[in-house]
Amino acid sequence: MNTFTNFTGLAGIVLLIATAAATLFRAARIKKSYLILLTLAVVFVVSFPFGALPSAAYLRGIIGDLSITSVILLALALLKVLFGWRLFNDQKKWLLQSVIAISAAIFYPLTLGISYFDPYRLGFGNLWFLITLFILTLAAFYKRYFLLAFCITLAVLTWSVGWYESTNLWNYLLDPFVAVYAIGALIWRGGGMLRRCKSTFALRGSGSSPLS
Amino acid sequence: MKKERVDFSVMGLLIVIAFARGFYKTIQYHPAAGFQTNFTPASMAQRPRFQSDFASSKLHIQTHAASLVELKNGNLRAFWFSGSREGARDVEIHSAVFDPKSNKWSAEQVVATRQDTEKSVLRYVSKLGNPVCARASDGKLWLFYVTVSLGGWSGSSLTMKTSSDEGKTWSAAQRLVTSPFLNVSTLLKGTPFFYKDGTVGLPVYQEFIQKFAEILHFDRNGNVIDLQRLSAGKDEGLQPVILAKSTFEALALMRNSGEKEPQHVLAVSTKDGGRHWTTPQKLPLLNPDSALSVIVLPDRRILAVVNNQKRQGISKGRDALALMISADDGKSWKMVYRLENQLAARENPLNKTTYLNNVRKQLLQLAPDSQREEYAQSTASAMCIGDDCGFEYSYPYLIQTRNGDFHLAYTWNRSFIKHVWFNQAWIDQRLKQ
Repeated sequence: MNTFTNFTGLAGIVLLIATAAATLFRAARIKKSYLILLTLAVVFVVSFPFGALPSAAYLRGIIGDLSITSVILLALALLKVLFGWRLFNDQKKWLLQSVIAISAAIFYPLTLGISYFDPYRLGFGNLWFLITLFILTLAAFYKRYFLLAFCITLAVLTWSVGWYESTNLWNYLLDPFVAVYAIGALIWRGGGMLRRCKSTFALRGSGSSPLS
Repeated sequence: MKKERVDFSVMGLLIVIAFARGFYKTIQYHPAAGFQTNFTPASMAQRPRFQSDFASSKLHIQTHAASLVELKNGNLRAFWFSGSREGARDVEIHSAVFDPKSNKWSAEQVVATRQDTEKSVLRYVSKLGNPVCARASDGKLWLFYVTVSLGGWSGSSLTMKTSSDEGKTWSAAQRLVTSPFLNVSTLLKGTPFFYKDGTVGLPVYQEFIQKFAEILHFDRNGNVIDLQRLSAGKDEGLQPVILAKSTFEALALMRNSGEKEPQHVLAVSTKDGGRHWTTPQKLPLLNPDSALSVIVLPDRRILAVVNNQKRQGISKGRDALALMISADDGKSWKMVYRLENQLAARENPLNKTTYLNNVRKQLLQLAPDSQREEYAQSTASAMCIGDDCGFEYSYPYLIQTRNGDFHLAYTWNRSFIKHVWFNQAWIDQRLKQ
């Protein structure tokens, strides 16, 4: 039994449950001081074994370990809900979401066996794959898209030290849940932009633009 | 625009540290190059040997998917899964040891359960499946077995245990991550093999959305370092078995899980030590979507155990099992021996009474006299639904031991694991007949 990777894997699942719980408590307009206490109580309940396994381990059995990208996004969401902290500029999140969505749309179908090319294989230590990630990270850093740079950097660092059971870098970069989140967020953003465009045109058409 | 609370220089330093560590790890990565070919010389035994017995001994239980490994003292250790039925929550991984000197199998030993596995990997496990054992270059035994947390076999992943005392005791289970999509759906059946540098190759396959075969490559410490695809798309190749013919040449034979009849064994080959493999080609050997086991003889002939017949309906296809030999890389095959044959029951279906009579005859040499009836009833309970009874001889696992003898284990009517022991003299005798 590798205690360390079991701990890190389970911690990611506990974070997922805690973030979901805190978001629900917040939606129920629970006071901030109670919000933190209730979230801590949820963490305690799902982390400690009442029987053979902690309840978070049942969810872990089904969804596996979360990617580091997921863990970062969940941690940021939890800090925002509990303390109102925003470590990264939310307005720049679209780039991270776009990179995740495009990568997932290409990556997952190919890994599921439709062709002989398996991009998952690159994650076992392919030099060119790491060089590509390095260039992408430097570009994001230079343009101050820190969240994208941070996600890739932390994924590479945790992979290199064996943070999870997986020895494949892809498992640190991506998981199906963060892919669904990114695609969903982009669709939502696209829908919002479309609605704003429509309302602008409608206002202009009626001749009552607030700018006029 | 809102300011970010992340410090530019801290972020830069983190990038340098992370990628320095990442590049250091990457330069240690060495993909596959060359196979080990430890051909075992033919047994010095003068007399042909062919004998069979049961490796498993539990009654009224279903058994399946046996594998074998030779121990340092020349004994054999077999592994299989055993429970009320395939996929049940009570399925355990069992093992027994065969002593060739006394010609006896030990009592069954439980080496992995669902409960002990889920405690070790700290996640829910709903069922266990196929076990395969390898001897690593440091002498330890590595036991790989299938675990499922949700759904059927397509939701499976691999778990590993190690033993430093020839399988008497086992380490805690360790989960292997071999797939990007929720770590489903890697399964295993084929015999592990060695690369030239002492690292281990494990033939595996996937059944989620597409069915395809792969080789999982482990370093000497049991870490997964590579995953190589052998089939894809509509090839439908599963359960590969790797046959290293020389350092750079190897052949992989695969179960054909395609729908198109008649199904034939699929083969791919490499000439550069496993860096590149050809696309699958059909061999003349029939394969009714069932596992096969193959080894290379020192003279480069290939010895295969396969259900060499067409499928009839969904259920009939594993009702006969044959030992086949090829001297031309699988282009043509000759039958050495029909290990099991119940093809006649296809034309004349048996009711439960005639089925039991048939099974009692098969058990004459295999079950103790005092328990033969109970063995027959145990078989019927595994293979009959009312008056509808069938035969299944499947999942062969063939190895050659250091003294040159051959040992084969396979599922016998889902109720026992049958073991067959034969030698080169017997094969030569059969081929002369």
